[in-house]
Amino acid sequence: MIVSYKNKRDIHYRLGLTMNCKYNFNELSVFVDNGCDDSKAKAISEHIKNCKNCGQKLAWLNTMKLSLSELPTISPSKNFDENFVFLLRERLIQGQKQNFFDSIQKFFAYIFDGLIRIFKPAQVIGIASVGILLTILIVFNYYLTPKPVYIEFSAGKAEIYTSASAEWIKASPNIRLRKGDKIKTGQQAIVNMVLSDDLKIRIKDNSLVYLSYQRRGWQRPKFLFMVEYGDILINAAQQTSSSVSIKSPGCGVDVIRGSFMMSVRKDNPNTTWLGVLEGEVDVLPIVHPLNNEGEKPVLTSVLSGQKVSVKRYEKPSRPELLSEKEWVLLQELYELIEIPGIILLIGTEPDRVDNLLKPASLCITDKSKSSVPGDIESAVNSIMDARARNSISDLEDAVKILEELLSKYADKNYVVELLMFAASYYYHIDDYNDSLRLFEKVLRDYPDSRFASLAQCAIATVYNNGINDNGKAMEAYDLLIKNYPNSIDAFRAKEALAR
Amino acid sequence: MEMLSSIDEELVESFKNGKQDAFDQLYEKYKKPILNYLYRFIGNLSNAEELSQEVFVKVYIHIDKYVPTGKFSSWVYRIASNTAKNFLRRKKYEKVFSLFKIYNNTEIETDFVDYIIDKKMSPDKIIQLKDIQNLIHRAIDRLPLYLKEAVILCDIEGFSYAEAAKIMNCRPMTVGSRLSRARKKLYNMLNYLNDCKL
Repeated sequence: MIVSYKNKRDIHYRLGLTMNCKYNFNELSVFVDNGCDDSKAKAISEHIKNCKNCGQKLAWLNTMKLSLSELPTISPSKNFDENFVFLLRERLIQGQKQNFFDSIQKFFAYIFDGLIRIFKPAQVIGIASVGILLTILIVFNYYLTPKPVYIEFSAGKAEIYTSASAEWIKASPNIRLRKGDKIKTGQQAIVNMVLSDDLKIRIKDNSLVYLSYQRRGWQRPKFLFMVEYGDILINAAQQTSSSVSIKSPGCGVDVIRGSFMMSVRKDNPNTTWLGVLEGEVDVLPIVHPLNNEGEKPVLTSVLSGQKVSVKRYEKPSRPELLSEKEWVLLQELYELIEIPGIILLIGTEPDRVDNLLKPASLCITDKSKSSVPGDIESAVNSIMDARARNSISDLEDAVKILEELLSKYADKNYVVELLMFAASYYYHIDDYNDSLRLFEKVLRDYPDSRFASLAQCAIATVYNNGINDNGKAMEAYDLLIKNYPNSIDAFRAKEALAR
Repeated sequence: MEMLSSIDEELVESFKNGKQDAFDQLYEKYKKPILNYLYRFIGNLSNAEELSQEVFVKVYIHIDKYVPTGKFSSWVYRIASNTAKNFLRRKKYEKVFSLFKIYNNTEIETDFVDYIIDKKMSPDKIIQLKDIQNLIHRAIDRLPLYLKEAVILCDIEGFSYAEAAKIMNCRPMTVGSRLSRARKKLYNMLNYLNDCKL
């Protein structure tokens, strides 16, 4: 037979044990404190007469209550009052002198008191442990995993194909690149990418580059860029902590340390040109997959001041010294270190004067936006707008406004770029005299700037193409060769004089 | 306590009106009960003294916050209760976070025995009291804070359920319930500790 019992009390009741009392301990406790109503108090009094167990409990409760109420009291120590007066005086003075830091301390004490009311020490230890662990993980993550490749700045028409969204977007600063992303630049456009603090890459002038592979995480980071066509400049100021490879259709380069430029022409993608400004670069040619001879590719070291040309599936040519013109071109690598403020989008080739007089486009980078006054920025924008609308009168007004503003900010470092910009627009609206005046102003006021040679070249071009005064143009070219013989524009002058 | 309390409120009013003597009277009246209450709450005489002083400093500074809708004694005891609870919480944290401090309970017992002996009772009574009260004291000290508070206020200090409820910030029924639970725990603990047949 199965007997079911409701609870422990039920078991005791059936077994005839003492726990079958009607009144529990709580009721007896209230009874002792005279908290029961009369009927219940009477019932309990009756019950106690017959129940030994409850009687014992009640006796114990009474004894304990009596014992506690008769506990001897203690008196304050002798210096209790003295200490109190001292403490009170101290607090009152503190209250008067409470300064900012005391308020902060009080605030944190208040917060702490609130927290310890809610959390138990074990919980706090648990939360603190998790917090410490997370902090350690974040610190490790910060130091051990490299920052992703991101765009430092871009100027001109530059786009990025993001593999995540499968669409082309405008290249703008701080965009992070992922594996499979493509970067495409238009004429005179520039995109600067940062791989680490000491490794920067610039893609410019009609280029298409892929970020083919990217490994980040606890292992040594690795990046692989594929250059479809165009110019790519690499500046590794120090030995890189990450492994960076640049591959073109003709060859591959592992970037260790140095500054160099790789160029693949769109109309001849099988040939890669590589010039080294600083350091040493090892070039690995690409071997034909069906090469039956089993020939292993041989590394070719290209030293500082040398160049090499590599054709697809062929051995690289012997490194040769850079020509003077190429050497000057490679100077642009030094610009990679710093983010320019205002960029004239004219390129770095000898034909940059033509790009300038087209007229030029101007880019104000995010870095310099805070330092360039708003009125100048709006003047530049109105010039661009007028050009887009092809409104000559508006353009003329806007350029004049810009010129007036520049006289106000003559001591600023961005004035040269803006003077060149304004002069190019005067030329564009056939105001050759004003154009010459501004180029001459650049020569006169900023003879050491990097645009001085360009201004001289532009003067010659204005005389030649605008005013049709060949004599003056030749004079200007002569001056250019004489005053700026190592500039990129000097090559242009030499060509013109030769013609 | 009822009659005294109405006098208390008058004293508070006088003190608010700038009479320093009124505070002195309140201080003299409550310093011993508060000290005893805190001593029983935290079990250490020197700490209880410091906290009592702290309580009276709070009363002095924040007397403007006292609203005479409730008894002054309840207000003071409530301040004392909160101060003691904060102290115990902090102590608990110190105990957990300190690598060098080891919590020692012997101080409590020594204090307790000392003050009994100071009363110059007869040796038999001392032994008897020592046996019973020491056991009770030890058992009370092991109760959770909220139960301990109910026992101290109702059984030792003699507050009614309603008065204790105001100090403990709960309903009178809750006080009764806590008191019953505390007594039951004490009953079990004392039976276990002493194996006595009380």
